[in-house]
Amino acid sequence: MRRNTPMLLPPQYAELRRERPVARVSLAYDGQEVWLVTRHREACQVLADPRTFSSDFARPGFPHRMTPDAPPPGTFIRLDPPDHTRLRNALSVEFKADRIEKLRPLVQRVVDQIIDGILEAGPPTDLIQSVALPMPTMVISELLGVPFEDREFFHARVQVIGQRNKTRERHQEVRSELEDYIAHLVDLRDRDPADDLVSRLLQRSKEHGDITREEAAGIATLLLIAGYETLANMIGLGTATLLRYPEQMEALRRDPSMMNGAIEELLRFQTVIAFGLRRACTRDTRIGDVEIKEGDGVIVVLDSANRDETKFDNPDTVNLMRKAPHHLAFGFGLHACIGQQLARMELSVLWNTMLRRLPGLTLAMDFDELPFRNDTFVYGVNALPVRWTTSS
Amino acid sequence: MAKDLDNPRWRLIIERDRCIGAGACLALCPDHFELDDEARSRALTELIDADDDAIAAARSCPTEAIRIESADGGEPIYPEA
Repeated sequence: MRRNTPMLLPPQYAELRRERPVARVSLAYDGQEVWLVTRHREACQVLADPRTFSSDFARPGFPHRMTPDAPPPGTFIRLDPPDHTRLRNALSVEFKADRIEKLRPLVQRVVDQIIDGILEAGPPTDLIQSVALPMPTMVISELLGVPFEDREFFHARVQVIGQRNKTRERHQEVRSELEDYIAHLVDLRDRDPADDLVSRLLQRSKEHGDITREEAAGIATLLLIAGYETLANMIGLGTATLLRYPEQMEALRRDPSMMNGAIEELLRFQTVIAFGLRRACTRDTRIGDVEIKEGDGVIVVLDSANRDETKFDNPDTVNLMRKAPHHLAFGFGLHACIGQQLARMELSVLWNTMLRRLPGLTLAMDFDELPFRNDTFVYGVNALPVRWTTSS
Repeated sequence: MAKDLDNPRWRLIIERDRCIGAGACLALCPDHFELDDEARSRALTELIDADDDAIAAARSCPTEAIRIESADGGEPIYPEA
């Protein structure tokens, strides 16, 4: 389904939430019939019950998007317990609160470096090219432990993932180059361990034996794919939304204590996962009052659940002061995003710094002219030209 | 009363302020966790029989909001001391 306007969801979702919150639909790309879940309450019901709603892509009825081929070892987002639990546990220590706090100075350094560059070049700048693409790339290469001499190679390829002006072939080529690179990185850290995530996964593989070396490589690749494009687009969309509502952005600049709440509202309002979360039903059941059969495919539409008028007052209005919205931007349940606290920290450091160091930040283009894109798995904006007030 | 070593009892402690309602605990251990009206996790009963699923739930929490102690002595079960 397509949006008619960048800030509103495809209008069919509101109708579905009202008339048929669990609806039998046919997927445009392969004709498979699946259940589309568009309301918050039913979305939570499905995502909280992994025994009934499996993430195993090999289950009958699982809505495949591109290929039913097995994902690489370690791709735990496509697995159920106990394998999911085993792999996720190996990684969860990397995302604990103390580890994320340790990363904060690093993220601040990356952001400051980026803003220094922007200030030096002077206005205008395209924030997608100057911030949204490089920042998550730099953080993730630090996290994975990409050696300094490989950074240029690595960054150039990672950024292609987020660029829409490249062909499908180029994207596939880059993905396979990155997979090869991760395999190389695993070899390197196997011989020469350092203080980074890949080294620690390998050490765990040797000491505990609960994950294989191949799974360690798969986990690193998954982090890159799952963690990079989503955050890059959230930076772009969140910043575009702030610029669209300058009074709210100014209130946030004046009162940084609003930041955590503002981030939650921006995540709710601009949920980047536009396609939805896929599940296969493993036993006859009901979602709400609709009967679902074993072997049925289910798609939970997160961005629709986040605009559910039975859950949020005025859901199509951005309100950075909205209190404690239980949004589903990071999913919900067993497979809720493992990096969500890292993402929140990165957004907080970035927007705090950006609002402080780029005073008078404003769009250098009509909002209505911004190139939002409509056709992809991850929602986003392809360019975000801005200017700011210079002091001289 | 003598300790019943065959049937240890545990206490579930959820730090409400840390909970962000990610829902991992109730997906892994629906017998012991649920979301309350404000979308924060709540233990269905504070004291439970020892249950590996409860440990899995505590371990899955992205904000480390869940602790488990022994019901009698308050010794840490998860995270381990």
